[in-house]
Amino acid sequence: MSSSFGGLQIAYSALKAQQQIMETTSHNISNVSTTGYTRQRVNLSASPPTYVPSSTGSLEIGTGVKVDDITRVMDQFVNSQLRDQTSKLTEKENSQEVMSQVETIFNEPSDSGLGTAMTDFWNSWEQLSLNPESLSSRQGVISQAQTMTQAFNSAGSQLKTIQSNLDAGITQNVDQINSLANQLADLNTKISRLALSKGNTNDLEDSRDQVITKLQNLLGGRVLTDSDGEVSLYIGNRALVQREKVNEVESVTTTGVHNLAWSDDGAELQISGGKIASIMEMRDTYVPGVIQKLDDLVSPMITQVNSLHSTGYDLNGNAVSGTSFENFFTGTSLDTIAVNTALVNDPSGIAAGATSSSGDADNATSITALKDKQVISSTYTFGDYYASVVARVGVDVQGINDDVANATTLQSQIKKSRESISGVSIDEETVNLTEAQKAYEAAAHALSVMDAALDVLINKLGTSS
Amino acid sequence: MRVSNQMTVDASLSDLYRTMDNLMKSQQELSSQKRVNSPSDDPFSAYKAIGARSQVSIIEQYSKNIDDINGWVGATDTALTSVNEDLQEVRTLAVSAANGTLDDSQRGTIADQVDQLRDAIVQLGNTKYTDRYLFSGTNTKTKPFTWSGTDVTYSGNSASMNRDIGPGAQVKTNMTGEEVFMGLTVNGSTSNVFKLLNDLSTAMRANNTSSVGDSLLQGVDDALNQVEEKLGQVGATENRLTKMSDALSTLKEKQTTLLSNAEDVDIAEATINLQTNQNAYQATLAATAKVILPSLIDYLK
Repeated sequence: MSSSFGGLQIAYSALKAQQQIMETTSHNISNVSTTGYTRQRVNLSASPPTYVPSSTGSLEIGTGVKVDDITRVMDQFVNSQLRDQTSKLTEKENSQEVMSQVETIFNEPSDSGLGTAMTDFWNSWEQLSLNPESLSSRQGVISQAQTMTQAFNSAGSQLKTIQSNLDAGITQNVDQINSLANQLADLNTKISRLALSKGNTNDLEDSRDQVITKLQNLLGGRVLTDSDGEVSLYIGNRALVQREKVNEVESVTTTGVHNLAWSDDGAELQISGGKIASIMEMRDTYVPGVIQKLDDLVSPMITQVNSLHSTGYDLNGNAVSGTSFENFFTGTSLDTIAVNTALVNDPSGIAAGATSSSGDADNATSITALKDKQVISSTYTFGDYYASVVARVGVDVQGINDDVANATTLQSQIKKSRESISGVSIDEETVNLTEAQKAYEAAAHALSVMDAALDVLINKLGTSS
Repeated sequence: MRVSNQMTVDASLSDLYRTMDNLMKSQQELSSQKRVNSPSDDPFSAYKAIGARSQVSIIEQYSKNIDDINGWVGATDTALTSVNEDLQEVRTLAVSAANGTLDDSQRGTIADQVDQLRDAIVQLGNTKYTDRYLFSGTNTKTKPFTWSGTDVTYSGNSASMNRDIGPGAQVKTNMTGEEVFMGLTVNGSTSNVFKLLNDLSTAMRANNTSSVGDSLLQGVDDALNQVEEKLGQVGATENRLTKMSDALSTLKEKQTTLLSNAEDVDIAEATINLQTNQNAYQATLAATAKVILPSLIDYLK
């Protein structure tokens, strides 16, 4: 037989256990909408029995219930899959945002886009050819030409602004990356220490998962978990966080743009995922690609128009070759194209004629004929090439929209899996709570029964009445 | 499958976002009347729309060209018609002066009329339209004909004024003074309409009836032929302009239709889509309300 108060201890162990369950259930319920929360479960087992000698050997006597531990209900693989997919989705969403901004710059199809500006420019030369003796027709050419060059400049400047905003995004994230990395190392330390002293590390582990998610959303990278549970994050083949050690990053400037490099040796990070990867691709490849395509439109326009213009004769019958009126356009590219200031100030210098005769408009006619010439790569007219550049951007945006939709669907599926395993269900917790409550009541009842029995034993036996 | 509260919320939210997004797209289509509001809505249609829009504008410019050129060509037609009439009168006068029965004074009167007609034709040769000379070739600011008293000096040139009237189509819009009035051969030597008329009135006053009735009359016939040939060419140009104008109208209509097909919304279809999407959104809202609210707690006392 065990001690006289053994029964009380058994009932008490039940009270403690059920109380723990109620606390944990309550904790789960409070965190039903907390991001990244993993529901916790109390694991009970029967306490080790005591042994009492008996006539037949030893009798095993139960000693109640004990709480083994409180664990998170989760699947490590699903969690890691979710982080990877969220990182991919974040990367694509960033690209989607940038590409949509690029698409908006063109303002097509509409009456006020670059396409209309170019057509109006060619038409102004037709109008001039009807009356090459006129100064006001020349002013019309200058006016339409400037509208067009300013539209080109504006597109160029907006694209460059997108690039510089992307670049600023790199520097802006450095502090956050280092802060998160330090948080991760810190959490590794805290969790290890707490685990050693048998504390509940569940909420800290949830926090650590959140920190890793944020880091992966920014940088992608690979997560490695050691056998003792400490987590490292590798970017490329170097560790940003190795267990409790952090390798901080800094922003460095190479050829005018900012990149991330390791603080200790200045080597650049090999980033292949996350928002930063998208920022770099958009800044270094996509946006410059669009700028190049537009340069490929503007540059031959400048050369071809100037080449024709320089051989012509102005309003006063003078050859413009060798004078300040020789070139119609100045500049070489999207952001530098402009109308020759000499012509802006004095439109009479526009060379409409192929000879010095006042009624000769053959040069104007040649210039406007460029609109039908297959100038670009000997295959496209200016208008055709422009339309195909715009359509291509449209295709790119359509593509990234599809990518984002697909990535979102996939992420939702994985999230649903994770939620199914680790998410809190109020209904389930309510049932658990009710169950714990009843078990607590039953244990309390058992306790009061034993108390009554002890009362008889202690207070009533052997007293004379 | 085990369902957590967050799962229900996530699913409802994603459906709400989706139906709201579709609803907004329908609204935008109806209010802008455009199916293609940005290239990504339909890249190939955007490509066609940009091209068609440009073509419509270019065709409109060609039509403007033709209107302008019609003015110039019409003025040329009018001037040459008058020249033709005046030359016909000269011919009549020449024929009557060749009659040997007239006296000096009568022949003098006729010669005076010829001189007046000569001056009139000089004026016609120097016709201006919109402040430019019709018959000076491309020297449109230089008066073509200066009469010295015995001959004319032509200060224009023989260049064509070529203008665009359509895609890949140009037209010569002018008649040079050279080709209308100059280049005649009278009595084996080079002459022109004005010198011819002067020689004619001189011959009349000198009673040189053989010249008047023969070589000079022949000269007048040659001049008439030349002017009538040029009038014919002007007429042909006017026909060509009319035909091209009609062709441009047809072309513009085609491109306008292409543009509309590429980017405009079908109002009936869009209205139905809007209603459908609105219904979907409302249904999602209602479903969300039913699924989010109740839990077991409501049912335990």
